Amino acid sequence: MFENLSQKLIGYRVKAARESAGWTQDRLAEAMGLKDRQSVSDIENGKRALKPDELVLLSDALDRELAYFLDLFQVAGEAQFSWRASPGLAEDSLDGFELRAGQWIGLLRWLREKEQNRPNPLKHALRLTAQSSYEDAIARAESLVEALDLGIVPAERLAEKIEQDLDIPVLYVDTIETPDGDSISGATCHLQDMGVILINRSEPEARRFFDLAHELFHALTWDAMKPDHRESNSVEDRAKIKRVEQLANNFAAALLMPQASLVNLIDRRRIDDTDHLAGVAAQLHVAPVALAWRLFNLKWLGVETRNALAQEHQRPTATGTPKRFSPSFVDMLHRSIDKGHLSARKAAKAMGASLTQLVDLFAEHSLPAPFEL
Amino acid sequence: MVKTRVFIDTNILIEAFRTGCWTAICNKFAIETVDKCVEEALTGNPEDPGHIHIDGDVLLEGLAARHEVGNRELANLVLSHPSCHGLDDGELHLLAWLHTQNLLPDALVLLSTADKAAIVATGNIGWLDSLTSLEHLAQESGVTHGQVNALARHYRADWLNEIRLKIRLGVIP
Repeated sequence: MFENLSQKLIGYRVKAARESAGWTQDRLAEAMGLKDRQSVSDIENGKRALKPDELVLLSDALDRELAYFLDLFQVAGEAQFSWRASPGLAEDSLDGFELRAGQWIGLLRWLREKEQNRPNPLKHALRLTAQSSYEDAIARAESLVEALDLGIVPAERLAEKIEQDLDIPVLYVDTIETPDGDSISGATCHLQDMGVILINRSEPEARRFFDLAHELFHALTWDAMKPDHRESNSVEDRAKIKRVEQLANNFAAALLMPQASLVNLIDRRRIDDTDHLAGVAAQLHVAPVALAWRLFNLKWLGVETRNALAQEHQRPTATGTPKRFSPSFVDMLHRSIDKGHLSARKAAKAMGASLTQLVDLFAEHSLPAPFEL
Repeated sequence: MVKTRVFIDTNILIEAFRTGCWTAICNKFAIETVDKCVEEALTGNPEDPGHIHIDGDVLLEGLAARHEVGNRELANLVLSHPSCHGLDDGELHLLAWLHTQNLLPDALVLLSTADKAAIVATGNIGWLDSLTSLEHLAQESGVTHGQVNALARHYRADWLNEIRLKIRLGVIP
């Protein structure tokens, strides 16, 4: 299986490198001394294994390092990202972070493959399109709360259920931040057979959960409405965002604040009591402003109470910052090094860490170091 | 008397310097490595608390040979032994050179590294019996007990034997 996967992955990279160089399959076939274009097509589709000499010729012809074709964790030419980032964050900073995130995701995919964790052939998807109404998006979210058995406070088990029931890994990561406070909130990464959600673990709790629900929408609707490579996470830009993002926001609001939970937690006699409502927002792990708009859209609140609730401060909660990456990812990484599938130094490089930092990561997840320093 | 050729990777090289065994083992054995391992040994992060300074002149003087590894050797190894994909560069280059030269398993000795993947990959190629430990080399070279005792656990004969046994029994990989 792994050999077949490698062949397939090498094929992706050959195609990406050829297209990036602006070469036709005919031209590459000629440069490699192959008999016809079909041979190149077979290599790119993973149907034909490359011979060592052919790989060297290919590397020379397309002026790419051999490692580009052989790197286990390379996702170039495959991974598509949609980032939720501050407008002030420079494009090249985002590109640099995308390369780093690509290594994490490539490593994650390889670890899943090694554990025979095959992607579900029946990929989960929400039956929505860009023409769907906000009410449709909200209805899907309400149904998903029931289907995933998320309970009264959906935020609490959302990440776990997304990973286990929807087969979409969720990684909590440290992202970049400029001195002016510009940063990345989260992202969805789309590969042919896997979606991954990245969340900035340092964000305030309510924003983290909202981003998670928002990115879940993208992961479940990617094929029907591919999001832009970059979207703003700025509150000021909220009114200008595209319809797909508005659908995602409505979905996220309903997922974290389903009507059943609101009925259960809100004392309707105190519907104008912003102190009570801010307490409910804290219980649901959402921002008061998010609850204000959700209740206003449900016509439970008037404009005055909505505005007053939106001004309420976030109540502190005790969930704390999530551990880096995810327990399942770090467990798989640990097993892989411990079993001798993966060199600790190679793992450290892919994680963008030193060996000492890798030991610290395992310790954070209560795991002993699987190698000696 | 002709010295036995010994091929070592970056971790072994650094540990030999850390414990002061380097000169003694170079006198006793013909120590060889590849360019990538030399590069890795000389370019570690000086800010790392565990960083060991390697004197480049002493390193190169001690080596009986260093070998350049090209794309062809790397492609040959990785395409014929996919488990080598999981190795770090230094380990990969060393195995690629040995694979192309067709020197193992007869008579030559290859040292194992600190984590298990290199041992597993070496076993997959069929060279498990070619591995030996830095402890063994150090003892053969007549270094002091203190230097042998200073070796970290994974450079010891017992550690290598334990991992080798686990591979043979199928406990790992």
